[in-house]
Amino acid sequence: MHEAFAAPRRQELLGLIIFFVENVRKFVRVLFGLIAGAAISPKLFTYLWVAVIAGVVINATFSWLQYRRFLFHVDGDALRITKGVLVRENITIPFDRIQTVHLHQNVVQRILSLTGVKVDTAGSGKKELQIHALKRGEAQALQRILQNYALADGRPVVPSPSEEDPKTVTEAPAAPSETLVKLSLGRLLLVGLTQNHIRNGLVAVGFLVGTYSQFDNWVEQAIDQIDEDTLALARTFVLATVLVGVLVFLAASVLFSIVQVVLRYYGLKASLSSQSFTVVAGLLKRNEHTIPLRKVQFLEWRGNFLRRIPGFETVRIVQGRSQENVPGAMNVSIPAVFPEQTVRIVQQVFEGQHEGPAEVLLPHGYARYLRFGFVLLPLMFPLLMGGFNPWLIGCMVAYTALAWVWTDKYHRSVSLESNGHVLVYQRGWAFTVRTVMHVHKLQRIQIHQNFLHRRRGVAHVTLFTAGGSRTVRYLSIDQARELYDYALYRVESFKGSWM
Amino acid sequence: MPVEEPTPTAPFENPVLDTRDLPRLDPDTFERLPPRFHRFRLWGVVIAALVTSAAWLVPWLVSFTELEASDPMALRRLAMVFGSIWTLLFGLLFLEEFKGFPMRGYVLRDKDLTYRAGWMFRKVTTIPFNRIQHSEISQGPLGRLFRVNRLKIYTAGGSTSDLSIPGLDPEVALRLRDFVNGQAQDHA
Repeated sequence: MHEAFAAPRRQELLGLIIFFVENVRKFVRVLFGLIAGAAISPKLFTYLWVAVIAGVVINATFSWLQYRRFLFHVDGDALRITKGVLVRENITIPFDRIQTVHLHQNVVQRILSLTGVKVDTAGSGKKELQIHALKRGEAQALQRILQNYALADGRPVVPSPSEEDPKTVTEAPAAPSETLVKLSLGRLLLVGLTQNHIRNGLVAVGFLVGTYSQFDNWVEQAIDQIDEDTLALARTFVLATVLVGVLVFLAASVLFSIVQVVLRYYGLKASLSSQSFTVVAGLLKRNEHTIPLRKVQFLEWRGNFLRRIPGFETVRIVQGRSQENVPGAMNVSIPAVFPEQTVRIVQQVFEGQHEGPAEVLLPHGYARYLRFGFVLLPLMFPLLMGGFNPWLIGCMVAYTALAWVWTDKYHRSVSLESNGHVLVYQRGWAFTVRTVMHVHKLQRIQIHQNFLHRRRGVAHVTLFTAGGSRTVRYLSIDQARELYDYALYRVESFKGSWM
Repeated sequence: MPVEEPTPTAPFENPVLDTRDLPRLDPDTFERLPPRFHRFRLWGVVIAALVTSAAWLVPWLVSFTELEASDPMALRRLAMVFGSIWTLLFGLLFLEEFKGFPMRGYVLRDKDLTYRAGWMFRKVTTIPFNRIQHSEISQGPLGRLFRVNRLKIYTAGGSTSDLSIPGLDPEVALRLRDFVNGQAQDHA
C-alpha cells in the first residue's frame, strides 16, 4: 500500500500556488502599515509599488523553494517529512503517535481541486503537521495508511502485495458506516436559528435599558420646564429608538449566527461505523474529519431552551490535542443530533459499558445559596448608585425572583452519574451540557477547596483528560473523595491504551 | 471497537461496594518539603513586599516634601488607601505562607504521585503513573541559592495537564524522577 508514498516525493505542482497565496497573505499582513500609510500620503504610494513588486518576486522565489524542499514519504511505520528554506527540518512521526488525520479544502484548494492533509500527534507542545496539496485520491489513500494504525489499535494493516490499485488495497478493515446526521438546508437554518445568540441579545437589551434609564434621569432634571405632553412624546421617542435598536441588534446577531453556522456546517454529513466517526462539512473551507472511536476522549452534548422545541442537541467530539484551546482545529461538532442518534452514538462509543446500575452524586445544598448570592451581586450597583424609583425596584424584585428560579433549576439539574466505567456529568437548565466519558480516560485528578468550602465541607473535583478538563463543583467532601479515589482506582487498574 | 477489557472482572460491577475497600489517600502520609524551601518562599514574599511598597511609600514621602505643594493631604489619603490594600494583601500572603507551608507535601504511592498545597485555596492533585508522558527537573537562580529543585510531570494533551512539585531537595527530586520514570515505563 505504501508504493505511492514509499520514496521521498513532492506535493502536486499546483501546490506552489497554495504556498504562494499563503505567503502573500502573510506578506500583506506585514505590509499593512505601509498600505494604510499609502492611502494618506502619495509619497508612500511609490514606495508601496516597489514593495509590492519586490514582494511578489521574493514570495514567488520563496514559495518555489518551499515547494521544492518539501518532501514526504512513508517509511516503514512512520511518516517522514523534510522541509524548510532557511532552517531545514526533518520530521518523523511514528504511526502510533498519530491521533487524527484530517482532510481539508479551502477555497484556493477547491479551485485547484487539491486536498490538504493535517496530522495531529497530541504530543506536548508539538504542533500539528500539514501537507497542503495532494490529489483527492492520494490524500484519502495517505489518510487511510496513517489512520489504519489508529483504527486497528496499533497493529499495521498488512497489504496484499498482489494488488496494484492503492485505493482497494488500503481500504480500512470492514466497518460498515451508517449515516448519522445529514443536514438539509432547512435543518441547517434551524441550527442557525437556535444558536446561543439569544444570550448576546439579552445582554444588549440590558445594556440599552441601562443607558435609557440614565438618560431618563437626566431628562427628569428638566422636567419642570417641559409640559407633560412633550415629555411623553420624548419618552415614547426614546423608547421606540431603544426598541428598534434592540430589534436591529437581535436581527443582526441572529443573522450572524446563521452565517456562522452555514459556513461551518453547510452540507454536513456525519457517519458512524464501529470504528470511527466521519464528519464532512463546510461551505468555503471543507473539512473532512475521521475520528477513531478509541481516540475519543469524551463526548459532550449541548442543548438550549430553543433547541428543546425541535428536540435536538449538538454533540462535540473531544479528542486528545497537542495544545489546549487551539481554536477550531480539533473540535469536531455534529449539530442536530436527535435522541435516537444519541442512543446510537453512546452504544457505539461506550459499547454497552454505560449500562447497569449507576451511583448518582449530587451537589451540596450550599451551592444553591452561594450561586443565588453570586447572581444577586449585580444588584449592588443600583443599590450603591441610589436614585430609586418604582420601576427600578420592580425590576430588582423581578430579577431576584428570576435569579432564584434560575439558580434553583440549575442546582437541580446538576448530577454526576457513574456505573464505574462511564461517567455522565449533566448540568444546566436553560443551557444544558452533558459530558460523557470513560473513567479510564482520565489522566489527572484534582480536589480543590478554599477555606470557606472547608468550613462547609464541600469541594470541587476537576477531571483532566488529554482533551481538556471538566470540574464538578460543590460535592460534599466525602463524595468528592469517593469520586477521587474511585477514578484513580479505575485509571490505575486499566491495562491498555487510552489515547 | 477495539477497546480492551479494562479489568478481568465483569464489566457491570457495582462501584458502591467497591469504594469502601478502595485505597484512600491518607492525609497523614504526606511528605513535608524541606524548611529551607519555606525560607525561600518567605524571602520571595518579603522581596515582593519591599518592591511593591514603593506604590504607597513614595507618594507618602513626597507629600511631606516641597515637591508637592498643592494638596499634600489628598496625596497622603491616596497613599493611605494604597498602603492599606498593600498591608491587607501581604498580610494574607504571609498568613498563607505560615499556615499553608505545613500543608505542602507529596505522597508517592505504588501507582501514583500526589501533591497537595495551599491553605486558603487548597489543591490536591494526583497523576497515575500509567498516564505520564515525561518528566523534568528545573532549578532557577534563586532555587540554586536555596538548593531546591522543581519536579515537573507532563501528561498528554497540552501544557496544562501536568503536575509541578516545587521545593524538593535536589537529591530527592532526582530519586523521585527516576522512580516515576521507571514506574511510568512499567505501566506504559
